[in-house]
Amino acid sequence: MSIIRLDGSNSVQLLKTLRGQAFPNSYPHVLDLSLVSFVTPVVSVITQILKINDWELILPYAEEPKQYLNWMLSGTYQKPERYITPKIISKATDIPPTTQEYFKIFQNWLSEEAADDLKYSFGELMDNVFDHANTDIGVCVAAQKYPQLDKVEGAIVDLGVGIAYSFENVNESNGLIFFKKALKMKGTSKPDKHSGEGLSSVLEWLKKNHCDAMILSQNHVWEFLKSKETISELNHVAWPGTLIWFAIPPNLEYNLRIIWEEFGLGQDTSEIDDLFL
Amino acid sequence: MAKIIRVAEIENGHPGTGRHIGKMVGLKIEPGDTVDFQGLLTTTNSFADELIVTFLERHSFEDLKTLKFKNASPLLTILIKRAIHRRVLEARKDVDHSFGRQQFCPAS
Repeated sequence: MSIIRLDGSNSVQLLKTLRGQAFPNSYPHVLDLSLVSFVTPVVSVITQILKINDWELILPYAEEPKQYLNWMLSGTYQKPERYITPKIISKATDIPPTTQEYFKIFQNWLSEEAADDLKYSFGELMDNVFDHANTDIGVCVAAQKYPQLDKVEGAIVDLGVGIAYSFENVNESNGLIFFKKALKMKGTSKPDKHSGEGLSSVLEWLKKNHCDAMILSQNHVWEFLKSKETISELNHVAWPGTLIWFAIPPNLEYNLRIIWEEFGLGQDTSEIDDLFL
Repeated sequence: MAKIIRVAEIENGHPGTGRHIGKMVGLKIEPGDTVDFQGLLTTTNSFADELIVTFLERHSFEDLKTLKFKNASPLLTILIKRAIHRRVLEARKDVDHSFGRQQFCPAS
């Protein structure tokens, strides 16, 4: 029996615990949550997506996180003023209605501009799963507002091929090169479609605003914690797919419009300005 | 005859990823049309890029300049401008008169 344990009282600790363990290939699997003291979006999405893959769960010992987790997983805990409970989006056709549902909640959590940018970010990240991850299960999304800490956390997870391995010609020896390439603007897996720019724009938005964030994607890790960026390759699979987590404050200095302007509209666009009413 | 393309209706009728919806919209637009983004939920870069490139696969840049884009959010406006800039204005350096997808692909 293979066991993955989550331990910690915040998302960064939980993710660091997770990436320190090699994801098992053997069956059956167990997700041990017994030491989890807070149910963050990271815990929610991991638990939800592994549960539907028939993983056995050991629930938290502490009563409060155990109750939250039970409520969330059963879908009976509906408090949109604080939580977006973990939801599996199994079809691309569900992206627009899900986006609408989340956007209404984000508008209550964040400034109008930040809510719009968060809607864009979740849209890009969900699109990526259906366009590139090659998974039948889809994607699981969760978010939570922390009023005392003055932040919103979001997490999105899939069990697909991973970011680096969506490129052609990638192998174990050059995976990190492709992973780094995918995170940068113009580092696309499909040049004719400019694929990958969505992810790059979201990461740039998070970095410019000094938001903490982390990606675990197969054996690759990207983290941006306390404004320090680190990219690394592990000798084991930290997550069998891609897991993206981020924390943002309610008001952001840089919006995505500025990020995109910096990316590509430095030149004269007067020839097309009149097209926009 | 010029018409108003209500993008939210297309999104409702053909939900999917941004790229998928962008393609659906791009296929419906004809020169002279007004593209109305009122109520649109999908505002991703892939949506904007696919809309523009799908239109340009069937029409010229001169045709594109007869379109009007209405009720686009500030972010979507930037994304569409960038898609046009990327697909047409930058590509002019290399290729003339033809604006299809393949002409602008860097070697993969």
